[in-house]
Amino acid sequence: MNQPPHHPDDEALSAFLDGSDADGVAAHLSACASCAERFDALGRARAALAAEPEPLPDLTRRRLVATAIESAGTPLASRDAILPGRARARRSRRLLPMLGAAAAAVFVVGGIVALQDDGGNGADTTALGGSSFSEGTAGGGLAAGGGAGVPLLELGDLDDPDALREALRNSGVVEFDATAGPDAATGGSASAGGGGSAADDASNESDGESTPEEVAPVAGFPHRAMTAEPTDSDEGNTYDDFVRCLAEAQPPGTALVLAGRGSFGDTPALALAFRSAETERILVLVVARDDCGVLHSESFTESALRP
Amino acid sequence: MSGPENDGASDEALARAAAAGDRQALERLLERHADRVHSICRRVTANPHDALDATQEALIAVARRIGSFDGRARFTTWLYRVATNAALDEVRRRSRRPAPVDASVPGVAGETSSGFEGAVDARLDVDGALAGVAPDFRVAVVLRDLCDLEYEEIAAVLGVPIGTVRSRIARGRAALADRLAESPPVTGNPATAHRRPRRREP
Repeated sequence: MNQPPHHPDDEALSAFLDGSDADGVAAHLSACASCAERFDALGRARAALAAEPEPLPDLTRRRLVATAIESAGTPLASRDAILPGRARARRSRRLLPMLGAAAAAVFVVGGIVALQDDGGNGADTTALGGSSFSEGTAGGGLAAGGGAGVPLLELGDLDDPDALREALRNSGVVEFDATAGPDAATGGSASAGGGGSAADDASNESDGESTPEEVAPVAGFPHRAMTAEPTDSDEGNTYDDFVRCLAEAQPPGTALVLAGRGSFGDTPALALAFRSAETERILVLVVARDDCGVLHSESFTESALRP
Repeated sequence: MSGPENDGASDEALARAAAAGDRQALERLLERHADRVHSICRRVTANPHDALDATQEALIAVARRIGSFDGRARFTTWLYRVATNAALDEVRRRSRRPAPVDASVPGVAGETSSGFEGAVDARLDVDGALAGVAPDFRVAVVLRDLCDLEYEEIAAVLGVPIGTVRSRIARGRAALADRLAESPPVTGNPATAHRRPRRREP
């Protein structure tokens, strides 16, 4: 059998795999062991890719779809209209499949707005972000029945999920959950952030008359000036905007339980953890300090925090 | 187009209904294709974390842009374009992020997924090999070998000439073949090492 004058290249072999023999590959392969071996290797690569990955778990699939469906509805469209500039573009870049973005948004704002109302801190601006990221405390005025906020902790690397969970463990969220209901959750959040005994705090606050622990301000928290109206420029995104963009619904019983600053890679960032008393889940958001874009989100049950 | 009749409807019929505001049709469409979208994202990102993020982004994009599907091409062609774009976006984002500290699959909320994670273990060899292939080549071979698209369809999805498609597929397969040849067989987890990828139904 006459062998063609040259060896077919990978492109010709690959095309032959797909059924095209314009380059006379078949005839060559029958007489050339090295090309036949290369052809087999390409075939193995194709077979490896043709293998379908494992299907998604049913629950995960349903949540992915539900989040997508929700995103097509009014609430998120409203958020687009509210959140300007880069924050809009970055807002959903780390949507968490396990917990829908819309649900997360509702979850977050529920905590902030509802608690702020309950807290009666006197903030009369937009009542959304004006005091939510105040100097020294995050969610200042969010705690019910007192006015102490969750202190901003120095958390360091915010891209380390284990470290974030460890911070939550140390905050006492788990113990707090064991005894507190939705109302107490808000007060418990303050104590949890303060690093005190969450169990003690919870028992103290069970009657709703507790006095939250005083929390020393953390100086130098570099928040931006709040703007009354969101602006449509790269410079106009503030934490106020971030909070504002989430203001769609206010489910009860949500509390800010941890706030800390650090860095996500090279990006200065803020970590916020919210607890839903209704679902007994913790939602962690890591947002960039420059434009409030969500860098990471994570949701898990409180039981997952237990050692 | 609500109700059980959606089950047997074509993708295009569901897409038209969804574009007209039928949420059940949209849900059915997304449910039907979520696994395939995830498969594309998994292969293109070569990372289980990023694949879930990209899948979510892709499904959201479909839900929001279903009105722009004009029916001139197959729905799956349009869907694959959305999915590959979402996956490539995730790859680009990842390149700007530090490497994740925790390489395990994140806990899927509220469910144990040892089977899922086990399957992930069994496929690390493919993922590892794919990670060494340039994203543009990766996408081309995924569309060809996973999605069974013809060269013309891939050209339409990627917006490149057919010759470029042919070249990218060849280079992608070649790079993958070289890396698979370098990779040791999966032996790290005896419980899952025997699992082999499930072949697609014809």
